[in-house]
Amino acid sequence: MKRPAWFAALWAEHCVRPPSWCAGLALASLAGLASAQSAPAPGTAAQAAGSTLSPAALPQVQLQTLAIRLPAETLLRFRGQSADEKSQGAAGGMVYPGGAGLAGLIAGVLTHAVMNDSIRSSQRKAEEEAADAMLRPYRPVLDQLLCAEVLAQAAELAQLAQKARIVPAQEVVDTDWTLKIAPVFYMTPDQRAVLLDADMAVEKGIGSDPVWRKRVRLMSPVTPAATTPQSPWLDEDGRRLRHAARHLLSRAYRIAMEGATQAPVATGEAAPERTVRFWEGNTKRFERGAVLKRDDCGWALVRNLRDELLSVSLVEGASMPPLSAPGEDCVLQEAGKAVAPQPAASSVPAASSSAVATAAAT
Amino acid sequence: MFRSITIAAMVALVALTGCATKPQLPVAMKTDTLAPQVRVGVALTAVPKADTYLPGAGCLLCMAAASMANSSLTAHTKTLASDDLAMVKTQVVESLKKKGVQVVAIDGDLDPTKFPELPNEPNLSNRDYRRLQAEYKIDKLLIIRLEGVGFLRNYASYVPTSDPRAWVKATGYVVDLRTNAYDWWQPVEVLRPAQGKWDEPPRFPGLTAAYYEAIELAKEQLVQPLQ
Repeated sequence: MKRPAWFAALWAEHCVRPPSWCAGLALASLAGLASAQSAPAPGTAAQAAGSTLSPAALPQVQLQTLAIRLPAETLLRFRGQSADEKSQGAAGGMVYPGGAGLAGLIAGVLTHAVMNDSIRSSQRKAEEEAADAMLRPYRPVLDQLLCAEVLAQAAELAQLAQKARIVPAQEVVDTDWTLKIAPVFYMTPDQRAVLLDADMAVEKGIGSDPVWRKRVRLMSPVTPAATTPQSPWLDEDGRRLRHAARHLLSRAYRIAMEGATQAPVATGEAAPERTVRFWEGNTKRFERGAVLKRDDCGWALVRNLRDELLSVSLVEGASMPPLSAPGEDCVLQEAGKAVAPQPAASSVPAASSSAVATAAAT
Repeated sequence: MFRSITIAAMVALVALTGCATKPQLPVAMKTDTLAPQVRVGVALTAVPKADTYLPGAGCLLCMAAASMANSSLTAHTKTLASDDLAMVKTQVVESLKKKGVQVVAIDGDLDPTKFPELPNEPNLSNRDYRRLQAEYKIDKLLIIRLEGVGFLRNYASYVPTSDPRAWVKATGYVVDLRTNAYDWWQPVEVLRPAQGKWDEPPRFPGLTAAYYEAIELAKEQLVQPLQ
């Protein structure tokens, strides 16, 4: 990439809330474009069109705006993930009454079908209740996780290319983009990880049909081994649990906005399908899908057969589940030994790490 | 009267048990089976085509009703590849090589029915594979028998008593070609439900994902004792 375009791209990528050096980069890129007449970088076409740009005539480069709509709930939804699958298995048999004729047979078949549905439905309900019971020790922390607060913190952590703000569900907004999200968090049965299931939709402009709509499922890194599974989450007033919620949401925002603003080729849509093995807590799971993107520490973005996106750590990438999230410094759990991760508060997303490195180089 | 009842009971007992063949029970891997000095041949039976199985739909009318009710799933099942199962042979060969065993991969699909039959006896092979001993210069033969792959849905006459689940059935066994005894016999049966709802025609993504998961789990269960 030629120098002016490189400057412009750098600005567009990293200057979400431009510090002073970003303004310098912007001016340098525009000046370079004017003198070199090189091919414009994305987002600089208007500037490149003028052949004699003077600093006074430079148009202001506007950040696009993004409204993240709050879900209807006040608190984040947390649930226990069910490990039991009895409700998806076989229900009971039945002996049909003999000598009752065709009507009797049909009545018997219908009764049997209703009984089976009822049995499986009650089994499913019991499984869900048992899974949710796992969350009782976490309630004091979970009851403090307000949607408005955590979604806003996640927007800040995400370092999006758009200027994001959180808006109530019904508020009319005039922004370039609108992101709707319905998040549900699940604690894995081994209580070593939290996963986020979120239906997401991105609209361009006001009241338009979504340009991107998907369900995403993101996995948190596992907690280090501890005397009780709850303690790593609840220590220091639940710092890890709060951070996990924020971080998962911020990853979801980035996936959604990248999906909405980037071409399918850039998001790896043409990747072949295969069976991938990934960590869900400390448990290995399988999913059929295409690996769209690979990150460090074995993390990858996978599109499954339902066209959902999964951000998971692949088993092939690491012999044990990682203790760090994508974008953080890679910390792997050693077999039979847990390595303490860096404090959650000091972790830095990849985008900001590269921004710092670039700033130092500049 | 008493004599008649006794005779009837004896006839019933013979009728119910006389013809039954005892199923082969699992045999744990013997310690010297996979010793470094032993030459082991590894063979795989033909990979079955994926299909739907509806046990419990006993009567003819029940079978017809069940087949009709699951026709779209059956049509989809027939489009699914089962080739991933064949990879188990490579995995077994690699695992044995890692243990230092001298391994010979038997070419092609092994068809046990093409070998001479032997009487059914517990812990003894009912086929005579000795000609492979000379052909491949092997002491033992490890066979992975793939018995079925697809979806299984239980029925009680006309009514499904379960959702369809991905299903793989296979058996791994080692025959000592000198004694014809089983040094290892490990039946494997994997059933996996769809994550979320299953009835999503025409591509059934939830069940399809479970299908490939079942294949991987079956391979894992077959290879694990050899590691």
